Amino acid sequence: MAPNTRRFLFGSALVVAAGLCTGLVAYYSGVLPSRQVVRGELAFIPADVAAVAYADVRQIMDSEFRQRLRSALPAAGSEKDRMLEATGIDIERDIDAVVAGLQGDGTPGGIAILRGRFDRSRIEAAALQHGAVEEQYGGYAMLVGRPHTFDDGTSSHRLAPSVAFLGDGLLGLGDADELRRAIDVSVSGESLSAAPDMMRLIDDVSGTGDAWFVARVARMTRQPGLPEQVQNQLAGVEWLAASANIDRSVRGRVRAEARDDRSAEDLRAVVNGAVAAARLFAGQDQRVTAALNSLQASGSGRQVELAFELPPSLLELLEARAAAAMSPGPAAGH
Amino acid sequence: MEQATPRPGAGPAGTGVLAASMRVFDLSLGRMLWSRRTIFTALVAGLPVVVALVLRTLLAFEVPVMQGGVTGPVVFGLMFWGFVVRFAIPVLAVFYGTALIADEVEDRTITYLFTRPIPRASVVLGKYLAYLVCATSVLLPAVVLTWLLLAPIDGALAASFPDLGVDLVIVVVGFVAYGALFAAVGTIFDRPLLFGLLFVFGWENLALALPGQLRRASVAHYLQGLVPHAMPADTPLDVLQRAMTGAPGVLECALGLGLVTVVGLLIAARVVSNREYVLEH
Repeated sequence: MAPNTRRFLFGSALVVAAGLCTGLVAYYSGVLPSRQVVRGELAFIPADVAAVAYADVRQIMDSEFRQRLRSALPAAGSEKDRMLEATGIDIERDIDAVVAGLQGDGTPGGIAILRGRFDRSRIEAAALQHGAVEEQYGGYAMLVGRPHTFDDGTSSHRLAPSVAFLGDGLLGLGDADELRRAIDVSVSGESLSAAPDMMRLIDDVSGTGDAWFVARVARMTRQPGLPEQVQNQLAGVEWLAASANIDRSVRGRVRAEARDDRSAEDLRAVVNGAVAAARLFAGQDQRVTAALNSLQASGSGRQVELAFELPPSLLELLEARAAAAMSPGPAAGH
Repeated sequence: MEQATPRPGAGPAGTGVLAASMRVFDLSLGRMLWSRRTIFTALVAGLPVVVALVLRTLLAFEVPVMQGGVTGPVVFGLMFWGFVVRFAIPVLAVFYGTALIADEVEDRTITYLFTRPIPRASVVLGKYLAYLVCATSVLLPAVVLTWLLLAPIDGALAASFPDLGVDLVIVVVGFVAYGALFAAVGTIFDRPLLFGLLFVFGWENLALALPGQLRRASVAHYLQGLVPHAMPADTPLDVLQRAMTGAPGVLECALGLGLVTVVGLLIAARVVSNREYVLEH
């Protein structure tokens, strides 16, 4: 082989190897640590949950979009104060990330695992003030709230809102029985890691946005109160995964995995029809039109994807609407 | 006046096909790599890199070119699907594959190859391997560079890295299958380039767009089935997407591409072994 040829092939291999090494370094240093952190929380989520959601609360709270949303909707501040008063947790300062597991099948409740820096004495004081009692379960301290009955219209459920201190910087919120079960599955290994289908989708979406959501659609659609039309439309969908990046704008991606190719084709038709209808009825507002134009449907085989972007200009519209709602109406008698 | 090449056949015994192929590969690689064809290859392969560079430059100057929820990995996916898989791989394979034997005939140098004490099939195999190394050594770095430039735009290198691995495998597999097919075409037809281009831009597009099982008679059907990126909608490619409903599974793709490769190489080797090349002066 001539030296020139050898040099060319070496250079070519070097570029490919450098690119692959860069990707490998990014993959192992960028994705895996965050996945491992999330996996710490996922260890407390039972394998049979219907849906799992994650939010990088710190990133979202610091985002420009959230700052503008806060000024557009000042009412959100009162929710934060209510949460602080009820639980002793300051959403804006204490929480870094949250992972939630939802039961589905018409069962209310679920649990949320919060990672952050929590003032235990403040949380205990707030809980005890609301009648909670201290309990030790599986080596973890719990504050079990007073049970109350919850009626969803079809049946009544008894829930005891509770808090569990699950280790350094981890806090569990939810019904007492659910939290006890979370502690059990973290020991027995029957957590989400034992659900390969769910983990496949979680691996796909984790690391792609500040917030993500993965759901077994069949179990989510059995929730009472969900309109029958929506249930019918989602009947052919097996999995739903969504992720969003929140910074100046919100860029998101929703992915549905249908049961078969026919269902996927039907869903694509529904999505394309809905997008077209939304564009038709959007009116003349440029800001709404810009958001609708960002909708991009794609997919092949059993996959259906919808990408979207909520631009900052949409918040201007929201701000204008909020200002109009706050302003005093025309005086009586005029 | 005509000069006939030596008697056709499998070549003298004593030299193994593999060893002879490696010798032909060694001789052909340099010639192939430093030919004018490689300039064309570099231009084709460099196009997505240039587009990626332009995008990065525009973004550096805060020109709003990435709107509507489109991110760098999405653009890379579209470029890979639309340009690399549907254009660069088949076109480069046509240009190299059809010329493996045709160039030697045109240059009247095939006589020298066939007078060597090696099986004729090893000439095809050696040149085919040289084409594979030549084509992949130009296109693979271009795909990697494009990915490095585009993936970080509103995306993450880490998240799209697994797809890049699949993309690189697809490039190699695409060259393997298309190259074998066009190597066979180059040995059978008098105007192989024309036939190859008609196949890529005519038959393959038609077969993919028509309903029914006709698409199974195209290489693109199996190659596209391996592409991890979602196909775009609301564009002319949407037509193809609908046609691709019921995309083949990985096993079917591997079988289809494997069959094309094996049959293509066997035909090329058989034709070259049995054909008597008459060189016109």
